[in-house]
Amino acid sequence: MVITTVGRDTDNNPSGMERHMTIKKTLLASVIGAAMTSAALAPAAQAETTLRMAYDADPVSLDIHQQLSGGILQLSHMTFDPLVRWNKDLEIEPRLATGWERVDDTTLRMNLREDVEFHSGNTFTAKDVVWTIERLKRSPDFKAIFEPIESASAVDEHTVEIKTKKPYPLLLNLATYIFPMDSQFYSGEDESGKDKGTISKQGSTYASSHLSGTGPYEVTDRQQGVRVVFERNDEYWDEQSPGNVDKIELTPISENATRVAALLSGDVDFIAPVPPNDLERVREDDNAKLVTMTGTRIIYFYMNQDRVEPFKDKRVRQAFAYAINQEGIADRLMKGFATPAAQFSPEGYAGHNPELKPRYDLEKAKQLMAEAGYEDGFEITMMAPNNRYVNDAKIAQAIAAMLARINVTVDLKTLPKAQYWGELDDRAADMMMLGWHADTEDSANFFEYMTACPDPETGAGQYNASNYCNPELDKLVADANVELDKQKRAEMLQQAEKIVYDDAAVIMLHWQDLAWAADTNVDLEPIVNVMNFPYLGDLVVEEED
Amino acid sequence: MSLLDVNHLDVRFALRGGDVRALRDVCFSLDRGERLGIVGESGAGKSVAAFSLLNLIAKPGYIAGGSIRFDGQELTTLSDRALRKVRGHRMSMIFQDPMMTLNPVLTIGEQMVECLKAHRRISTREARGISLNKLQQVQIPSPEARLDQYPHELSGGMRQRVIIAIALLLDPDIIIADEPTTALDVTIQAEIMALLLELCEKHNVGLILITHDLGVVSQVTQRMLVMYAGRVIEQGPTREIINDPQHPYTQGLINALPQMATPGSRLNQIPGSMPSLSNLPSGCAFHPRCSFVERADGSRRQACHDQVPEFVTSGNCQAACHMVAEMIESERIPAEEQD
Amino acid sequence: MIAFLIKRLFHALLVMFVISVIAFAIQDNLGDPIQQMVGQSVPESEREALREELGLNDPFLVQYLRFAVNAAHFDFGYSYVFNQPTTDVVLRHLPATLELVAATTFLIIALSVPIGVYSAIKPRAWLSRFFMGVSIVGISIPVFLTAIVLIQIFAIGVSWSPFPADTGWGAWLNDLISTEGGMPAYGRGDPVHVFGTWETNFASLEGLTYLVLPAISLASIMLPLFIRLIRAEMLEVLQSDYVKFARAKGISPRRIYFLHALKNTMLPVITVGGVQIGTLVAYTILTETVFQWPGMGLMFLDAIERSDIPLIVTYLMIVGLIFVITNTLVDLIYGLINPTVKLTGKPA
Repeated sequence: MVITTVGRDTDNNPSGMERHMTIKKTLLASVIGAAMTSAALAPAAQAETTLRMAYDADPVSLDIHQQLSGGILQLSHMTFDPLVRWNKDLEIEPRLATGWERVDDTTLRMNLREDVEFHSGNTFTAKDVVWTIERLKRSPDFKAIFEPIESASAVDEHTVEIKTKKPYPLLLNLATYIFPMDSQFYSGEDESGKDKGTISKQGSTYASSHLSGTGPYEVTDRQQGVRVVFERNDEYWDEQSPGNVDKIELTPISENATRVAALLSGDVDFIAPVPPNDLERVREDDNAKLVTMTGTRIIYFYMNQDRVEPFKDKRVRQAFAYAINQEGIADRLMKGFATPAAQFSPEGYAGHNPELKPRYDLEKAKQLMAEAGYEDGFEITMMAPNNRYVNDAKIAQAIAAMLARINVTVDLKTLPKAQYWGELDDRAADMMMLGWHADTEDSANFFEYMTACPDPETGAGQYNASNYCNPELDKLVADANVELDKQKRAEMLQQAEKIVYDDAAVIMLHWQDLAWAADTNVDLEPIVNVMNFPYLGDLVVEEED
Repeated sequence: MSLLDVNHLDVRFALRGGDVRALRDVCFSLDRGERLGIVGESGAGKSVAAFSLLNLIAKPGYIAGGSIRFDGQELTTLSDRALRKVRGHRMSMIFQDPMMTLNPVLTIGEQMVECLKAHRRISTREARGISLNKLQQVQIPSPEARLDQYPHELSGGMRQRVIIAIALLLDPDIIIADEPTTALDVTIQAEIMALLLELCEKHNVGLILITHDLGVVSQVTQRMLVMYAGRVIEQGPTREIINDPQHPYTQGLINALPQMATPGSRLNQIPGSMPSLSNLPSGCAFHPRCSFVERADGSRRQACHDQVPEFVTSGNCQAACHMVAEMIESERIPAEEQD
Repeated sequence: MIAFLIKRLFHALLVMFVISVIAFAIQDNLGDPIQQMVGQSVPESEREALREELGLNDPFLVQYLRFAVNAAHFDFGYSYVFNQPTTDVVLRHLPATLELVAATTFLIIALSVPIGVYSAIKPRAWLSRFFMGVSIVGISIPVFLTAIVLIQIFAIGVSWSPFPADTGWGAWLNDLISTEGGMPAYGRGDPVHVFGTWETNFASLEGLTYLVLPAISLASIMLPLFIRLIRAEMLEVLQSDYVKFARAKGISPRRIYFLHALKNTMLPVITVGGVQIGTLVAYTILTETVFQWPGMGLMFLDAIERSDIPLIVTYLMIVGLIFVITNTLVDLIYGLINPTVKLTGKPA
């Protein structure tokens, strides 16, 4: 823990003036007074609390609309505030939006917090929300998930109305992605004559290197790939926040072992992610503590029905499902660092169906294969990345071994992720591995991308490498997407999961766990969540004795 | 007393299979200003003898016994540090191949100055002055320029002159020259040898000339010794040995000279070759090749096979040969009987 | 001399040209940069649009010509990841690698010369045998492992207690073989800005502590080579006639070893070693990865991971250039030191 001493008095008031007035009181007393005052002030001067943290990568840009990725979202939570956010129990809590009410099926009115300032000093108003939503709809990465929103308008300074094209039950989910940006700050022309609000994937833009938000931290120094320095926003609106970290130094350490070593040697105070191989090491260290949580990223395998004739038969697919021992993999291969799954939705999601459990039964698998006429099995090709998901290559090998028991010979190829995505797009193998996390934190997202009948025009089933097509399922999901009643909607989605389960559309494996580690006096637990957006603004670090 | 007195010098090489005796019982002496030649075939031990004087034999060679007295001082017991004072100073050496002898990455000047500085407290300027002087003495053209040149910029003959100059830098008492002209062009050989001779005479410097070239030996040296298989087998005044060699081996050497052959006929070879030091014949090492093991009457001289011959004196010469011993013995008795 | 340099300049250009063509030709196998740039839920249409914008759909020749024309103006493309000209990115990372290599070179020279010379002078001493044995170990252990072990021992600390801890002597011995760590585990810390993109670790003692472990790791793969090279050369040189002659002149052993012998020894060492060290700049990848040292190696690995093709191409070309420069420098230095050689490479 690095503690630097900066002159501040206990009330966090600028102490300069006070001090001078005290000293100037009497000439005689000034000498004594100076000594006494400074002596009195010295112990009262508060140390600045700095958190040194290491992620595996630093934010690729300061423009939070440039890319939809975990890293950018983590940055957003540090430097901006969303309208609403998920708490630990996956409930919505108000942030810059203090309340909301449904005006009609397609309109939601939100009340905005007052007395909030951006880092630049500009005041936060509804105009900024509207500006931000319009920008989100322009962003190549975000526009897809913001497609349901038709428009946004400012009713008054602190009220905004959002209209959707159709009744859309996930508007609040979507609102967690709306981090109002300082519209004034990002308006106008920059040095090269471009509009400051330009979003670009390549080439440097104003927004990619300048940031003004309402969030708990400001970016004070940034060297891409080396370090980002954040300093506490003194004017932060959330006075209820218990967070006491004044300064954060974020350094990316891509090498797993080095990141852990940095924590254990005391060079950093907080790291994420913690590789599964080092979990024990961190647990055993007296000066570090480990926090783990079930994640929401599902790891699974496609079975390409177009390439492999047998995959068209439901019994074969089910046989495969019965042949896979998810619990064994989670337990022994992942060393408990995964939660075995039989469906897309993790617990907490609307569509999570408690009835659906992993169904490892080798006998049943053989029986089904025999029934379908494939007692002697067949050959298939399999591809998986080797540096993207935790133990991805090893999992693929384990699966191949398990399938061998039902006489399916697997020709396995593992590739670095850079090459793998191209192959995935080409549907290059009979079975392919993928990991997915729903951007909306909602179940419908899974079906839309993975199981919907592939339609290049609408973009449905973009990742449906199975070419699985069940119009009934698609209709169910579409209906759920306009169902505003939460209860009803949840039932529909759970039904959808059951369909996928019965059809064995894909082979589910597990949800990857999340792990963070920190120095013992960093109170990590309250601020981490399943989405892996640590709310660092609320982080409390205890002083060292 | 001679300036240099070598007595019963015994040099061995500690090899894996056991020690090999490279020099056995070598004795010779050198007076001030005297020029001694050491001749013999390759492998006879000439170079070993030369290097051992200054204890410069490469490991695993070592002096196993005997004494080397130089100007009253015993050299074999001196520490390396003390010996360094003698090397290059009182006794200096000239090697065979001038290209390999000079360090290619140092200038001539550097290699001369360092020699002077190693033995005297003297400034670089002074040292250069002396070096220049010596270079002039060895008749090198444009000696000033040479000081800053590198060895590869000089011809073979010039390099050897430089080396001779280096040998003379500190006005030594003895120069040990190990085959100094063998690696040079034939035309240069005579020049260099003449130069060496002239300088030695002029400065009264003793010379130990190791060579296999009998012609050179006869022109330059006053005394010579012949080595075979690590031993000295004949020694004496050069003139006498050349004209009237006693030892069969020496005779063979002289006869083998091209000058001694009849025009049109084959050169006279000594049959066989010198034995390897680790596998010496018993008795006289030369006896397997010697045509005098059989006496005139046909009987074999057993001593040649059994005993290593001792030196016997005949006039000014000494030879280690049983036949010579017999001859002298037979000559003497009648003289004694005359009394 | 000038002719020599100009010839080398042409070499450099030729090398860079060939490398760039090869790198361009294989860029499809380097991965899809679009994949790295957009989120998972971005529809295909958006990706296509981006691909068009970046000119990735153009035929090979068109793309290469575009690149070549720009390259002639010293514009080597824009890094997809850093959103800056690739030359800027490379220049930013270059000083870190150069400093690491400089520190490593210093270590190598400072250690290999005395050890190599000593092992040649006293080849049978137990210390010499010890060094030779350790050097084999050094060559065999991958630099990655060395780095991790060094971090564990010196940054984190290890506590061993094989001896009975409750006795005085046991505790003392345990303490002796345990370490507290304390060295920095990664990164460059706070290098001091000199000028341009050059920030240095050499400006303060603290800065130097960041260099120590990475330099030792990197040196561990080269040191054995140098020690053995120097020893072998020196052994041979010590057998030479000029060394014997120097002895015959009565020169002191120290002068013989460190001037007569060493100077000749260093000639081949410089040739071999010089090239090794120059190309060390390209081999720092593993060390930089483990220590998160923000140099060119780390930059290159990241570029590969993220399919940042312009940066990859630029890096490869720069490495080619470095090889040529290194060879040229070594030739120059060799020509200067060895009096028997003129710069054209022919004997004088």
